[in-house]
Amino acid sequence: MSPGGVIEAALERRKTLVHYAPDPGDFSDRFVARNVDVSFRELPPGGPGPFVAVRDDDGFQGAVSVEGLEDLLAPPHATAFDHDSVSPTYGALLELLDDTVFASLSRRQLLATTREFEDRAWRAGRGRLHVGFQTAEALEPQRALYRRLATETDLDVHVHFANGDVDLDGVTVHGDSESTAGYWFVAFDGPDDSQCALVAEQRGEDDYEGAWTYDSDLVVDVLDDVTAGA
Amino acid sequence: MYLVTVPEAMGGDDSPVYSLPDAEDWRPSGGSEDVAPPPDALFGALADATRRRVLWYLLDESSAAIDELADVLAGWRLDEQHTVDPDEHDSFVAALHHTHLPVLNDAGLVDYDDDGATAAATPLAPVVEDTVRFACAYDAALTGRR
Repeated sequence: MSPGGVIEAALERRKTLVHYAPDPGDFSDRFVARNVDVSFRELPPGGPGPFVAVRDDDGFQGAVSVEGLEDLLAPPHATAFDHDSVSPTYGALLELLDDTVFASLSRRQLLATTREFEDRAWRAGRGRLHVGFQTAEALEPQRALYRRLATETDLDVHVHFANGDVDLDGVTVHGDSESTAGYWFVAFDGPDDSQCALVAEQRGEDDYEGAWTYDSDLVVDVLDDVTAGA
Repeated sequence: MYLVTVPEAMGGDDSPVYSLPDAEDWRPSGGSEDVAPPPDALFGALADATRRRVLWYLLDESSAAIDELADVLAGWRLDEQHTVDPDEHDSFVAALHHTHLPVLNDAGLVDYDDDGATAAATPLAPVVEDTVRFACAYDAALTGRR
């Protein structure tokens, strides 16, 4: 399965998001996903702050305030080793909205999610982590982090370039990986339930369609394919 | 003796909660179809935050699925925590089903069929509706809401 397979598989799964608020505002314009139905229920005055309830085929999955969801819709700029800038609920938000195919993600959103998954791999300390970069320059700001991931843990770290090369201690570099062309991807297969993958297809300068998943079968399929194509 | 400071939000001349009911409204059992429960049933029903929240929602929504009511209870909980998970939502559904909706049903404030998945506010005598709205407004005022 190519990275794009994650998006295709995610599209098979539908979620329903119920937006509770005094008025709908522009929420449904801001939350645009290909496989999520957004509906609205009016809250009378004097109630809790606006919130959303997320459901899928298995029923209720979680509720979060719209204020909390802002971290996902417009995340603070995340930089390497600066996890404090990402709210502690960011991981919970990602889990609530896994397998959701977002029609338009920015680099900032993808970076925040990538940081979260790199952190997940760091905490797991073992397993295999494959990350695709468009260019060697894109890896530059992350060099220190990837060196630490490779040398201070038992992780098997691979980076893929469509066209590029770098020299990084302990990191396996794939210089002309077919899988990387046009995709932003991070895939981690680790112990217990730590598997996760983010895949986004570039549509414009700062515009990606993408999804993330914690489905271990999907993650392993993507990793197998990425490894074979490397 | 206790001194209670009444928040600003409770004031206002147009607030029904401080005006005594008009003589016209004061017909708890004046032959109308509207429900006026016995005082102990009414105030017993209102003596619980979950039930006040259910009534607050149903008065404006007229009817709602149990799942929807559990969503609303989850929404209130989000003022104190970041997310509500499925286990907690299940516990809301169970408490609604086994405790709160039967109490509201017995008080005549809510129509709730044991087999049904929905609940609806019953048409209340104006003075009863004012009392219920007062209880909800009191909650809102004391917890700093608008």
